[in-house]
Amino acid sequence: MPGSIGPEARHDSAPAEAPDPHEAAAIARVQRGEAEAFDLLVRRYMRTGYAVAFRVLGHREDAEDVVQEAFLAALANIGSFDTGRRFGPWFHRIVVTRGLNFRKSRGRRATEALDDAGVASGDPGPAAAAEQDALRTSVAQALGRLPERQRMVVQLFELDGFSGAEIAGMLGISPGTVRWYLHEARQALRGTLAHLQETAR
Amino acid sequence: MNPSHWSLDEDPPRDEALARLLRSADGSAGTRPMDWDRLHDRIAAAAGLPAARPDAGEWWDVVARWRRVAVAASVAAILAAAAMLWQTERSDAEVSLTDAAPETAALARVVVAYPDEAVFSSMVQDGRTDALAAWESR
Repeated sequence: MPGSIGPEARHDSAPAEAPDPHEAAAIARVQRGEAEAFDLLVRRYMRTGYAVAFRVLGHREDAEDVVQEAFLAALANIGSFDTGRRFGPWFHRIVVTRGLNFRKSRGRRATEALDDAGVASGDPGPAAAAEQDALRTSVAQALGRLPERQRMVVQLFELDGFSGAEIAGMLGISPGTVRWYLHEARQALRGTLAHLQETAR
Repeated sequence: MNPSHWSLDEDPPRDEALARLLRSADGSAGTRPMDWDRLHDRIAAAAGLPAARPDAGEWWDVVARWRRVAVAASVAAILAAAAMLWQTERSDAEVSLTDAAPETAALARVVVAYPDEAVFSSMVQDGRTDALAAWESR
């Protein structure tokens, strides 16, 4: 089942509003000790969990480690989970918390997006490749200049398709603050990257 | 609504132009293929879930998945049963006195030398009188 993360993956796999009855039933089964029912939650949320972890860590293997850790933490604490709530926001919050702790323990910032960008681009030819590299470098540098939360907010909103409220749940801040961060990040990026916007079109 | 517009109360529309730019720097998360099955199996193993099991679903999903195997196994079982039945009937038809145990065959060879009533009398009497010997002495 190879694929990539992005807004489509997020909308396909995570319910947006009320708790899904199948999901609530699966959680109730896990709470009764049927650990195998947890598989439904793993399948449903591993993509979005990975997307969030990657936004926090900027590193593919680290993101896999963290999403795995977050599922184990969720399983260990599922007894206290209220099945009237949605699993997604709770789980994504765990991913963010674990991701921030993980990054602190490793003492590094997100860098792989820039380092790996060339891998996915195929073979566009030397001139086009140089142009692509320059574009990536400019965008990565502009993102790197943003405060950490603004960078995560703009990526989670624009690239991964999460709503302001969902991002607020993950980061433990209000939706209004998320929208403010998003506004600030957009302003900064538009200012820095205005000369590239035509290239991207 | 303009993507530049913002409000504390509602999300702005997505900015597609900005998203395209961000995606261009989003190498490994955005565009590199990801093996979700491998990630799932890894998480399932760590959590002690049944290994690499596809989405279990309802019982009819499981039945549907095993349908072809079940049909093939049923056909094989029917053919085997038919072959065994045919073999058994053929064996029954070939059974004769000579196929019986040696002592039975020997007795049969003795008995055929006497008329039926003598054999019958010999079988129903209590053993104090030898009916066959009596017949010979006539």
